[in-house]
Amino acid sequence: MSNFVFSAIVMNRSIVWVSPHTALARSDDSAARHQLVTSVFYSLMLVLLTLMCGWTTTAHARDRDVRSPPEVREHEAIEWLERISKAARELPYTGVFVHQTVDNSSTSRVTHLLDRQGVEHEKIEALDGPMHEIIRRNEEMFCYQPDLKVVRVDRRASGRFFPSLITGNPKSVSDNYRVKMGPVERIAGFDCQWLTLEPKDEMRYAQKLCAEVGTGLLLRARTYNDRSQLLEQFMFTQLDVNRSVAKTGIKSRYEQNAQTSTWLRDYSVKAPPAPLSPASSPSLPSTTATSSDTNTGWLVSNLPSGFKKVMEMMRFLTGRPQPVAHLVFSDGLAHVSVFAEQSQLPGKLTAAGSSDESPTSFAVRTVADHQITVMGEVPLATVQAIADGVSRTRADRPVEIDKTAQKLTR
Amino acid sequence: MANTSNIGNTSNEKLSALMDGELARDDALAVIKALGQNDAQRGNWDCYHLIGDALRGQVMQQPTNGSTPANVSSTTQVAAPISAAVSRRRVSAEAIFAQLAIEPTVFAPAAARDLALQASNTKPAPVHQKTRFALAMAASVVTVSAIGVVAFKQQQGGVASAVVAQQAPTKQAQVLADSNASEIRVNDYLLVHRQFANPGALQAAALKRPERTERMNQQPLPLNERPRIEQPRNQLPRTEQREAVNQ
Repeated sequence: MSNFVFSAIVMNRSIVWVSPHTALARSDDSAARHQLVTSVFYSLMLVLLTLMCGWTTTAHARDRDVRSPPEVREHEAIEWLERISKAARELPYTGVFVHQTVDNSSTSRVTHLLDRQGVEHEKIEALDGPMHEIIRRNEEMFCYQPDLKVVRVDRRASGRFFPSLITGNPKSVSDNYRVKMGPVERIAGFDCQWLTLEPKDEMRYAQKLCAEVGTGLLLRARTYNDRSQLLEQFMFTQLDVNRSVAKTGIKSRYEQNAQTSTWLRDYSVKAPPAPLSPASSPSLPSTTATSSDTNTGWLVSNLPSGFKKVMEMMRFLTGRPQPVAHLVFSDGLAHVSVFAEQSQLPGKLTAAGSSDESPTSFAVRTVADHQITVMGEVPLATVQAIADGVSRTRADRPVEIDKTAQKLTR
Repeated sequence: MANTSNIGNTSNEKLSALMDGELARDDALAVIKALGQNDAQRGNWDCYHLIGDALRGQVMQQPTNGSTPANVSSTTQVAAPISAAVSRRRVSAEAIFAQLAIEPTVFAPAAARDLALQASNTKPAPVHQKTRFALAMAASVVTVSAIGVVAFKQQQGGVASAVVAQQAPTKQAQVLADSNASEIRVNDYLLVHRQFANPGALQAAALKRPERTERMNQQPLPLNERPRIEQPRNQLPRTEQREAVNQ
């Protein structure tokens, strides 16, 4: 920022310097002339300094100029990524968006606000199909399913929730994608700045993001495969942004009537308190798990460049006798889930697939008598590479779970 | 487009009927002959069997069945070619995911089971019937997938996705009618992974159970619409069928 201010001064001074004759003609007294000479001197000095300090800073200041070459505008594009990420997290907004894949589309209403304590609140209501609501408080998710009278309690981990699609540090996103400015277009009644995110390798899909010029909120997001086929798209069709959102707007309608007291509470993620069995694995290298993460005893090495683990947990899946390990990896935009469960089928299992119609690829293989399932909104090569890197860090048996207490507590 | 899919479905329907041992002798001979001459049909035949094998393997490991897998080795051997067959036949992730969408176990196992019981109006199906359901389900998904692709290729541009979007959910909901839940172990992972990012789509497919009458009226519904025979199937041994194809 200081560079920016400095360059702007240089440019102002330069304007004085290039028009000395007109200035001289108008000012006869010596004080004015002295002032002019001084300013010329300073201008020269500053121009020299600018040249020495680096032309790039000046270029950076000017890169808001539409005529600047694209490589210069990359800085601006990265600033946009930061704005987009910040806007989705901090702004109050309510709107209706469409999520579209080749063979499906669904409409949802999203209501979002950041309270004074810095807690993010979000409500997502499905407008198509059966009633369904997701209430999110930071990473905590409550999914209300009135037709089944179930509240699923979950953690936000791998899902893509429009418009907060940039979950990682925008700077690290730009390590994995070439970010370029695109045109400005009118979308849903707003002026919208397009950004293109081209993958720097073949391990992720290209993205096009369109952010509202005034607020930086995403209005549209598209995912393309390497043949430029559109795989997935989110778009706001209606949006109120920066208008105050009532607290009741981010509460579940079912909670408001206190009708959920009899509903089933389905805890799908095992609470991550003490390590599962620390005594049995004293000498193991600790994974990069954060303190809130469960050590599932699984490790993925040789991750494709840019992918980092963002979460690790044990999950309960209905119909599974054992909890399932779930590790989530992200490059800041795309998410990949790795599931490991005790395989009940002897022998090796291998399968993989991706499709022009779906953004999600998957790979299945067997490691240490466990079925490993990897899936994510990435190319096939990425899920396969991640599946190949999965190894068991702990040889002990999976956690013994008291089946009566494992799930579905009322 | 309707014509195209009808023709495709008729032959696919016969193919799967043959596979189930349901086809009359004359028809069966005709289909077998066609199999000998038509690469695409032979591909479908292989693909159906691969999926069937995989699904049967999965079914057998269900603890409720209590039976020892008889063809475990064949299942595991089949698993690898599945990935090839899958991409070749465009079943791919889409098919698996379509099945994922129809798997109701994630939401409420009891409810799903009740639905299944209501529909069949009988005791839970014996093992061989589960197997058959799984097979029919998988084969339908293949058909759905194929129709979707045809529609997409024929109509370029924005209209295409709309057409496909209308068709696919119908078929998926339709497939649900015969699914007995948890045949494919990978399926519910997608629900977990996506975390209901598009709840409408997944939920509609997973929870909406078409009425039986509605389903009978829908066209084209190759595999699921054939009336179910409650008695045990007399399925031909796999080897015999394969030999028949080669003749």
